[in-house]
Amino acid sequence: MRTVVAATVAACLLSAPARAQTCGAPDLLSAVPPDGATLVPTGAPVQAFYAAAAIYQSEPVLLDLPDGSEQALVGEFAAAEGRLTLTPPDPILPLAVYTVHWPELRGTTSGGKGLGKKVTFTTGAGPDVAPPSFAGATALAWDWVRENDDCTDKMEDRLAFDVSLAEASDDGGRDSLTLVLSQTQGPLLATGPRQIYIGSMPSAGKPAHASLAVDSAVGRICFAALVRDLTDKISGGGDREACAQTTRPPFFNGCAFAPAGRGGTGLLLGALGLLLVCRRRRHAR
Amino acid sequence: MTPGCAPTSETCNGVDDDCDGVVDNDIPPIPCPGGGFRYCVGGRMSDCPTRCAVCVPGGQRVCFISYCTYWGLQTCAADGQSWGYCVERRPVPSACAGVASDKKHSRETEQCCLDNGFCCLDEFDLNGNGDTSEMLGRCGDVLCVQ
Repeated sequence: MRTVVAATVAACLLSAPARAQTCGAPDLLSAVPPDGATLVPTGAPVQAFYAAAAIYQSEPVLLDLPDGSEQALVGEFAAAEGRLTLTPPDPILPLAVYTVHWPELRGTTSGGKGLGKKVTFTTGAGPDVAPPSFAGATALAWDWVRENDDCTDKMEDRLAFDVSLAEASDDGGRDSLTLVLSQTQGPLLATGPRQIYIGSMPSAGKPAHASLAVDSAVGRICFAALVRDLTDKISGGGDREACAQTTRPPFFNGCAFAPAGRGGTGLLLGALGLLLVCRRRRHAR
Repeated sequence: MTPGCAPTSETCNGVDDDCDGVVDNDIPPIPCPGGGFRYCVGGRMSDCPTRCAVCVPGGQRVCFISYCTYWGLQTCAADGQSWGYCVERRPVPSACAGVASDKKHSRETEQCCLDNGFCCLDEFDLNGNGDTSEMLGRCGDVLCVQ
């Protein structure tokens, strides 16, 4: 019986929860296109997404050209999305290799710089002319998470969501797509759906992750997704919602198992209780 | 054309208004003032994207003013997007009262602020990074409420 309890506790501890959104550091989170991308359309800007704390003070974005020369350029920063866009002044050549050195940015409150990134990509044969094809969110799984919030250094209960996505494609290549994930139903959505993730696409077949504070994530929760290409053309699929009914996490701060009065019944009940607490991945549509 | 459907212009409402078999298609994004767009998702136009707060609502940091006690406090606004005025605080915490009195509005006063575990406005660029508007010390940092 002790083995059952130990195994249950171990399973609980090993079921690593999704990470809550980090904050503070003004790091580059993703680049579109990502490093190693191919078939990147010509004539389109390239983009990088930084953590929300980042501020852009015209730090140069270095662009290595196919002829080996380098240009120092100034990007355009959309603070609401944390999106730094680089539009090369000269036409991007087809079937050529470029490297962008995305800068390290300062943060609104942190002293040091965050992470930048070097991204090398290969262009395709031509421009992006058609909107992307995407059928939206297809399913939703959720889980309770309790972890230390780096911002406040306090334990925080959150709900982590995995949003399954339909296949996406574009004439500029899948690597050139940006995912826009929105919470469409739930508490605290007073005025409309809220965009909770804007950034590079997850790998094909992988879900998008979202972590929400409990107060905004308990009840009937829905997400919708669409994708946009480097020229800001958007896909369909935004009408398709993936939903789940969530509940508050049953976390507790500590407990002890009293010795069972009759055989191992107490231990068995304890193990069953832990199993219930540790149940993971609740799927719903 | 969907049989029995009376076509109207497509709007963001979760309905196939134009009877082409697709719900809420061809609705252009609406540009937002701070960048980004509002999109039609789930039958409604989304809010504009918003960035994280710059400080924890209600949080405080020490600032330094060049009169009176040379020591003040700023409070983070309720929306977490800005700091309020630097308001004189009296008395200065005892650990820094002597420094603030002798050195007044100075690096030493800021250093004392840091050494005593406060969240301090880095007005004198003690970390040498050229930024005199950042916070140093024990600060709550940015809070991403989502």
